[in-house]
Amino acid sequence: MEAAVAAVDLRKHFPRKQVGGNILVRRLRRYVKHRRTKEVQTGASPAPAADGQTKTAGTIEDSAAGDDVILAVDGVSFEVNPGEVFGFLGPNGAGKTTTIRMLATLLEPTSGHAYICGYDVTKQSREVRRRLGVVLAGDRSLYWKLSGRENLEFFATLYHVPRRQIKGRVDELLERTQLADRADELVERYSTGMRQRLSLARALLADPPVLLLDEPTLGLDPQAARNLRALVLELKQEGRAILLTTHYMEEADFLSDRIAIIDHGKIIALDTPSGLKSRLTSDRVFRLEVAGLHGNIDCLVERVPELNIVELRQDEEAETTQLTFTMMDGQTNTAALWQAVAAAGLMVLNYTVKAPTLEDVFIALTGRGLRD
Amino acid sequence: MQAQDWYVLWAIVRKEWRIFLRYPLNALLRIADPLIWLTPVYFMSLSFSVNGRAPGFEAFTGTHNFLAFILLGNIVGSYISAVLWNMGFSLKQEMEQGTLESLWLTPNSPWLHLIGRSTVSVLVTGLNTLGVWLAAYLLFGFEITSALGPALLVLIPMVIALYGFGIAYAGIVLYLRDAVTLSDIGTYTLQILSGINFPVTALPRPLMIVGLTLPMTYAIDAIRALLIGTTPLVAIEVSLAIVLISMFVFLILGRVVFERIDTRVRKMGTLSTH
Ligand SMILES: Nc1ncnc2c1ncn2[C@@H]1O[C@H](COP(=O)(O)OP(=O)(O)O)[C@@H](O)[C@H]1O
Ligand SMILES: [Mg+2]
Repeated sequence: MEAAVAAVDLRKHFPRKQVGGNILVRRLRRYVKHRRTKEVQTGASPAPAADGQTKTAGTIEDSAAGDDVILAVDGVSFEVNPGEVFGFLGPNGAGKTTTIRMLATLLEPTSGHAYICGYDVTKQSREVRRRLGVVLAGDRSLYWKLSGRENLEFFATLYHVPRRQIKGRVDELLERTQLADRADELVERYSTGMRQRLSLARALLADPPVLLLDEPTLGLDPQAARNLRALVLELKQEGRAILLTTHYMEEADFLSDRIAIIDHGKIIALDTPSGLKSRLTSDRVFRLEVAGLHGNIDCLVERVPELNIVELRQDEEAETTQLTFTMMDGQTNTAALWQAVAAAGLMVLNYTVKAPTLEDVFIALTGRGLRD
Repeated sequence: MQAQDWYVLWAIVRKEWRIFLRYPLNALLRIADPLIWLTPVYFMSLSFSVNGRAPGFEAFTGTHNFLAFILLGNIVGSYISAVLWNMGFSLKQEMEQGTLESLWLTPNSPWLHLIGRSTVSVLVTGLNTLGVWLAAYLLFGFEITSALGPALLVLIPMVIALYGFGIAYAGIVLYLRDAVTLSDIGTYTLQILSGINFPVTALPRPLMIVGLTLPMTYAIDAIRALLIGTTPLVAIEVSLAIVLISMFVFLILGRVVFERIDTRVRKMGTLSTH
């Protein structure tokens, strides 16, 4: 079966924006710099990229050609199948929106390819857009001076819904997104949740086989978010391929059949939610907060050999340390752990044991929390 | 264009018209606008004339009817700003309010949106024209003589040429993202150089030469010659030919420029303002 969405080594590099200064002066500087790097390169051994922190091995050509670039998406590959919810999970700035915008034909990839139902997003963008329903983050994508119904009727024509079917389709979608009773009010009077639902209704007008949802529950109250998630699952049951981004791990966990964890523009893990969690060495995650450790965890690691530290946080002011870790065999090692704590004379402030979450997986992979 | 495109265009026109009416004060101002500039022009024409004639003006234009001269210039000029200003400005507005990406996501050519949007603006300008006509008739007894048909024959291709120009121009706005300054510069330049408020022949020589390269100048000139009998710069047939040719040139040019820039904007990812 052909994948509904396929991305092959997709990349997007943005020029780093410089604020202020005359654009001509900036161009000139860039040109001079460019000449210099060239001279250096042809003269001596190849110069390392000027700004090491944003550059990776694969992108030296870019850095030589221009100057600073932001690697918003740095070579992602994945597929989404019909009837599947594929979650893109990552912190802010990870490159989720940029990926969605490339798939939605709004942004041209720097390199790589992407296909929607087999159509190339850069070369066959019209065919791609016919098959896509897109909900972008933010609620300003609708006409606030039109009613919900007027918005949908307008976009129905733009999505080439046959004229005779427009009214029926719009009514059905208003019903489905629970907007029927407010359909004739101006969108400016809608709540964020209602606007989000209206955006989703619009995305469904052309009955597309593929849905791209960028942070669909951002800014919604818990009830509205729950309703929206239920709707997403319904849409999946209908056999649509759904790619959704989120930085809420519970949401990704609940909705997704498979999850790609993305960080700094790269997919660092791709698996089912349970597959991801099973990467942690045990099915329990321990959190321990102690005073008196001063960041030196040797006394614990030495005595509890199978201790696997996932995260270590220091609170300088309170002089406390928060440890997140897993242990191979919880039962026997717990005893060793407490002995070590006692031997080191630490004061335990807090201790919890939980089933691992995707957050723990993320921390284990990156050493940072999702919301840092 | 396919049947589907016409439906889309019609939907855009209807949407724009609806939104236009949802700002009632603005709509009222737009429609009453001509009266605001008409009155000073009238009194100015009175103050310049000697015994109802303005000899200097007559020498330049071949007509003593200063009021009609300005009136026609401004009516034609209002189509320039209707198309130009609206194309650039409305694009910017869609960009800022965040709806541009929603439009770009639909399986339609972007320039359908540009045409649709400025069509409403041209319709309103059409209403304005009728309003000015009526007001001028009621207040000052201004009457249109003849040759309305041939005048429209010049006006319509001119407006279409403007659309072409406007599409290119919208592309530039998309790229530079500064619609207001750009629109003002564009509109003012055209207004000064194409002889809306005074004969181009009154301009200093270098400016006059620039003015004479603008197809707009010939359109305005021909319309005046047809309606109020001014001495035309060149034969009316020549003006008409210039306008018709520029219509095709600008339409093609507009599309090419816009598509180039649209591609570029998709590379930079600056469709929406963050
Ligand atoms: N148009 C743009 N120009 C320059 N940089 C951009 C642009 N859009 C996004 N970026 C940068 O690309 C990176 C990824 O952004 P984004 O895809 O929005 O992340 P996410 O949606 O995961 O929060 C960020 O560093 C962001 O600042
Ligand atoms: Mg985002």
